[in-house]
Amino acid sequence: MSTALFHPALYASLALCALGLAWRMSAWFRVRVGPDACTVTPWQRMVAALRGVAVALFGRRLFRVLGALVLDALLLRRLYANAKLRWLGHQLILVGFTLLLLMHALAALVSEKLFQGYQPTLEPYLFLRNLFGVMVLVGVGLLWFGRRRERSGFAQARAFLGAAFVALLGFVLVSGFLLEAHKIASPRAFYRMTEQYAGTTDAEQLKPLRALWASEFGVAFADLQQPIAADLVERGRELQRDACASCHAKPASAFVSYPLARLLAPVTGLMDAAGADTWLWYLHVFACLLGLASLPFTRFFHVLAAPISLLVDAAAPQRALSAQPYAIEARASQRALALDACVRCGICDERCSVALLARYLGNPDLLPSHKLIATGALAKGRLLRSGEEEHALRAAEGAFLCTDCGRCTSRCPVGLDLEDLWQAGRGDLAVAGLAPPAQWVQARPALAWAESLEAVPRQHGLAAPDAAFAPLSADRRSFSRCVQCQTCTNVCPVVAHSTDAEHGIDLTPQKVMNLLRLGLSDLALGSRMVWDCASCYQCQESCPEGVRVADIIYELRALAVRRLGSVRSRRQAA
Amino acid sequence: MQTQVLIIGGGVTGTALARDLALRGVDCILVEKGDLNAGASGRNHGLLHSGARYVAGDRDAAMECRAEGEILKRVAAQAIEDTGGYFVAVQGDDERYIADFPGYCERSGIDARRVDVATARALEPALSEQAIAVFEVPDAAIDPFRLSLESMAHARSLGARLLRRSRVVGFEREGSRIRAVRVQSLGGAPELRIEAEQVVNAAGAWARDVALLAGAPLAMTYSKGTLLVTHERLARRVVNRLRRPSNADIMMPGGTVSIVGTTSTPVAALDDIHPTTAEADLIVEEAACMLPALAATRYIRAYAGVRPLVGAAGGADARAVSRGFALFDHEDHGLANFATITGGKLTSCRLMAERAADLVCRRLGVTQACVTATTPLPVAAECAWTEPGRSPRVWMRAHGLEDTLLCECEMVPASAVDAIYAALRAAGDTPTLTDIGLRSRVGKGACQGAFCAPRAVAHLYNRGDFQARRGLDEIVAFFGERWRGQHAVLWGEQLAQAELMEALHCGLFGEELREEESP
Amino acid sequence: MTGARGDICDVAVIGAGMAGMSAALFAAERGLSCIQVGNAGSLLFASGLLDFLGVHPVPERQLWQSPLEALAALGRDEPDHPLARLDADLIRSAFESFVTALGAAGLAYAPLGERNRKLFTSIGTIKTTYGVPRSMVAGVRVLEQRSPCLLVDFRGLREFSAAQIAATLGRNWPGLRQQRIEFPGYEAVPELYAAHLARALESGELRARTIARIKPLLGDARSLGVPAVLGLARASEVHAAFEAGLGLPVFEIPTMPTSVPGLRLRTALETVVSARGVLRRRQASVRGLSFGADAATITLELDGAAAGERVHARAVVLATGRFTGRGLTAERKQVRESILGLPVHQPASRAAWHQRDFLDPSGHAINRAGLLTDAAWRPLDAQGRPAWKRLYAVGSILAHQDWMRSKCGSGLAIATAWGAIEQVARDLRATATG
Repeated sequence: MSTALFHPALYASLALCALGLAWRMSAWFRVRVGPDACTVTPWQRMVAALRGVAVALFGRRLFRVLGALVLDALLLRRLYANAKLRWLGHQLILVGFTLLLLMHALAALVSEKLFQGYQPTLEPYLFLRNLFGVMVLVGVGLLWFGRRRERSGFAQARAFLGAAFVALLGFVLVSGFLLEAHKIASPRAFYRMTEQYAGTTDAEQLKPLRALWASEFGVAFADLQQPIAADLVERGRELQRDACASCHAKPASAFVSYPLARLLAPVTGLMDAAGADTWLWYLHVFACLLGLASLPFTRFFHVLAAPISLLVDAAAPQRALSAQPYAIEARASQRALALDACVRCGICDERCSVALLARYLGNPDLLPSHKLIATGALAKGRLLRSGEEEHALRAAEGAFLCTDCGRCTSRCPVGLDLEDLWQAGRGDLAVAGLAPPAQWVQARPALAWAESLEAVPRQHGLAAPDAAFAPLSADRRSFSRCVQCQTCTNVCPVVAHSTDAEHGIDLTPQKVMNLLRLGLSDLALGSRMVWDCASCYQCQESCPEGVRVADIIYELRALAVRRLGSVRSRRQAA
Repeated sequence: MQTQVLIIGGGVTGTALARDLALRGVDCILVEKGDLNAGASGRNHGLLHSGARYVAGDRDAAMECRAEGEILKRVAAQAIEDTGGYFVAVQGDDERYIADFPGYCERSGIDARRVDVATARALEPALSEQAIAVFEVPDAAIDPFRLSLESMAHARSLGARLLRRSRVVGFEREGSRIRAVRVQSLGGAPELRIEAEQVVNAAGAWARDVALLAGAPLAMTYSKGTLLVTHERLARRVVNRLRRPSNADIMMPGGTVSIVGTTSTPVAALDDIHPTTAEADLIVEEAACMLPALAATRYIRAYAGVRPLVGAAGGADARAVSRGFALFDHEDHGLANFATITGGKLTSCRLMAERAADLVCRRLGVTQACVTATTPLPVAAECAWTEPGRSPRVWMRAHGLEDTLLCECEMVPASAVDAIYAALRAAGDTPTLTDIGLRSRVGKGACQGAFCAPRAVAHLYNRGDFQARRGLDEIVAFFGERWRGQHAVLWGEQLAQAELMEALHCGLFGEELREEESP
Repeated sequence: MTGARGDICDVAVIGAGMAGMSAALFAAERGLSCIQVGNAGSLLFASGLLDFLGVHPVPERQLWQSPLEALAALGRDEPDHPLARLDADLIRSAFESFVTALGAAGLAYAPLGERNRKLFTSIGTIKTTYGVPRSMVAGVRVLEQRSPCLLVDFRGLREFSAAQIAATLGRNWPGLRQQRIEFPGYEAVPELYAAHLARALESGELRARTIARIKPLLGDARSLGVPAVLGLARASEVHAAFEAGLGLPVFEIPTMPTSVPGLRLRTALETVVSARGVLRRRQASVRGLSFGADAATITLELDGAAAGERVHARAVVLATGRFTGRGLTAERKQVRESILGLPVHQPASRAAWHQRDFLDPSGHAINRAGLLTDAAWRPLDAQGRPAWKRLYAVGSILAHQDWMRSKCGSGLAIATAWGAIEQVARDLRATATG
């Protein structure tokens, strides 16, 4: 069997992987997310990172970092807390793949050095290899199952590369099992071995051994007479003990490959003839090398980025407790790292407080996992290319409809500071001229917006917004309880602090409710109140009659983006 | 006081007549015992009929409505919301009538277009699932207050005079002529004597009483109609029941609300007309067949008006009596300078004024022809505040530091109250809170005055317009007026609102005690 | 012991208005474990004045200087009136307890006496009441003496016109003057809201500026009246600072909702009730009640913010109020009790609910509708028997009273809550020992 191609391929893959990793990791210091990140150079960021590493290693945070390494990076504690099934899948893959890598792929460097007389065909390695392989396959299956079950209603963010890589992983495993199975069943391999190690090709001499290997080691001799005589087998066993046992255990414990070998028995002859041992080996090894080379370029880069992110998070000053602002040099790198560390698990999407709205609007970019990609695309300049205008607008809508509730950050299994990322992303959008709605809406008075809307003919004269889209504002029962007591306005901190005649609040919460009740919602959409609302919910919690004031105001924002956005582009077009 | 023509009654007809005469250069005085539109003129649907309602029973009325509706849409567009209307039949309605309806409409020249039920329900989601046929007709909504206020404002700009709160108490007759009319001001001022060459009785339902006072008996009957006002507007268009006219057939858009009605009950006397709970129930139950939301919606108010019906007597069904108008020259009563114009509909008010003015001018020898069919009604700023939804826009466009919203429900700013007050003062009147309510949306919203009345009164004190204990009297009078329309619809949310009003105005302020300040 | 999920508490109070708060407070003070469900928003309608009983009989509009004498008369004429079913001393001790608790939460009331007090309102009418916040009490003497007094209001506070009060009361009170000032910091804001001003006045700097603006206007005034905006949680401090800064008695004048004294009441009651261990479900409502088969526990199914949660209690106090509070639901044909559908004593038809005149001296019949209870405050079912043996009703939901016309709202709430909680304690003790 010729493996001449192996080494060039291995070195090429290693080089590609190394280059890729270097490129991707350099991005952690190059990519600038947020206008404030543009104030520091990559060099400053690198210095800050090194200093951070030093502080982490020699400072008081070492234990926290070690704790994070064990609990978060290895045991995936946060994932366990959020999604048990996915945690199981991940752990199976992580453990299974790592052990396969060490024991099998890197056998020359690890197993042979650690274990005297290591042979992949001996027990327990034969069994373990199958076990690890099955762990990975089961893990992949679990993740796939979990993904299907917990869809957010949108295609998963950048699913293709992920799926391709999962497929590659599966292929590596399957080809490995096939290769092993074929080797078990292959008479050609048997003869090669006997020739190589016993130095004989004499059929008569090999007869007992053949009988034993056929009956107990699963070799599929095409020319073997059945039934096999028991004494022949016994003789074979003796031969086996002397000649083969030091390297070969019975393969039955390879609980995947052995049954597979039995399954393949009818076609083993054909496969041998076709040189299956060679091409299967190539397939398996080249798939591995392909995986190695492509790892930095797929989202499985997270296997590196996520643990690093967790460690950095542990080493960084704690968000809530830190009195001093976290230096932008470090934060800029952490944001760039976050773009890579996101594992697209979608837990944030499930918890997102505007998930429902995303579905109503048909805009996935409201959801954190999608928004993260858009944020990255914007930071890398891809979102501003021609042809991406639509996506850019969608991304802006998503970014600015975020309520900053912080649920995504609190649930992120890899500890990303998503709130910081969103804030930075909004800054980038504003710099790119994709101003937040609050900004472009408030550039004109509410009445001017209402007049623009009036110019657009409508089928329904009642200013009833789409009931499915804005159910509270569309339902007159939302306001029919109002007794005009002004409590909502009296408890509103935004109105209380609005003492500036020019930029102050134009409509109080109560006036907004009244405009809706009067069927004049168009007059409210562009109002400062709708856009300056702090979402503190005082109004809603204090309302003696249970009107959902804050929910309605939030709904109006979404409605405004949609309706005012339409007349805005119309105006721009005109 | 002297004038060429004295008009008695400040409803839509009287004010239109004043304008018509003023446009022909005739000097006139209008006396009104209460305020403008205090009678049926202010207590109707506000429907500018396409005529389709009358196609089967009264073809002349139908054609008259069609013609007048088109004229008003041209000359008084500011008072009209051209919504279009639907005629809707529901399961169980007379199939025959449904089948005949397009033919009837065509015969009267009314453009009725059949609309697919599903389409109609998509455009008007309030329509019942039970709808089986829908026709679209050119109905529209008209604001009778704005119409009268602007007609009167226009007439006054041409020299006509208005005496509000002035009741005719006697006629001085000299042979076949009325020489003078004695008028008593409700404000307690001395009795006025107005000498007029011609007197026109446009007192609506009160026309019989006025004519009788002048010595001219009239055969008239009265039919009371009640309407309910919802908290929100439920449909864009006018929605009529497609059947022969009956109870609770029409839901009108009234700007930001919907108005549902009516009923028809014969009444003998005109005092103390108010909506009853039984009428409110009847309207809700009947109209909900066509518009199910009406069974659950919040109602904020009811009102009742009296239709003057000419010519009928006895207990005949009032709906069978013509809704056409009648002009009496009273010559058979031996009167040569007295005329009565009454009956009719809001839609035909301009035509009624034209006919009456023609008669008066003929008698006066004035040859000027009527121009009201072609002369646009000028927009008067102080009259525009009755339009629902207008004041928030005006206020949002710009407002000064002092220009706060006095009424939150309908978003009426202080500047509106100031403008109305100033206009009434300029005419020598002493404006009351109720006058302001009639000329604006103050008190017409959900709170029915509980919050806006004290705010408006505080504002008028701050401006120095009110002195002494007048504010309290005004609040009490205003609530009295509002309550007349409220008590029949007090259930559900509106009862909670009324309870809050009582908790505030009785529980805290003790307005029912009228406790004098000396202990 | 206080009803954590699954546990059984002694008493569940439904409603967080004046009556519900009183019931929760009194229950906690008696050592009963208590959970309270409901939003205290309706307290914002309260003026801060605590009425006991001011008018009786309602149609005669007779005002009483002594609430105790009024109570005696009420007992003679209307024995079914909920207040008439309580002993006068008991009502007074309930008031004392209530006011003491408020004091503990920083909301000071003038000492309660035997007499009703009179003070004037923001529209210049005179209000007869009983418990008066310390920040308003100077207004009582001022009105009695008609001494020289300055009223100050703030441009932009739409519901309050000093000019109106001065004009309305001025005929017999020559020394009553008024001035309008700009509220510091809000000179550019058209509309002011009482609660915002109250919060602003808690800042020492704004307070000093306000005092400095008023001081030159005082002239010969011997007291100062202002709208009730002198601080929220720190009202005592703000009021004291005004009196010290101006050197004369300062009093607040009660205003329309949203009233700052109402906000203070809400804050103080929420504070004191929570401090005494009452578990609160503020944003929840009650979807339904179910009674245990053993008749020893009652389960409340919560809705709203606590939807799905169940609360178990040995006794339930219904303090859900009337129509504004949503304890009663008025349908077109009848009035229903909102949670359990208990029978409501009411006029035969809607035509009889209201008078044709809003201010009719007799009052509206619908206001006397409500729940009938037995002597132990237990609402009756259709057969006239207690609906459940540990279900009690308090406050304005009770029939045979018109608190708005009798001026007895707070008295009704506090006294019936006191009475019912005493009964609850007795009944639970009896169960425990029996």
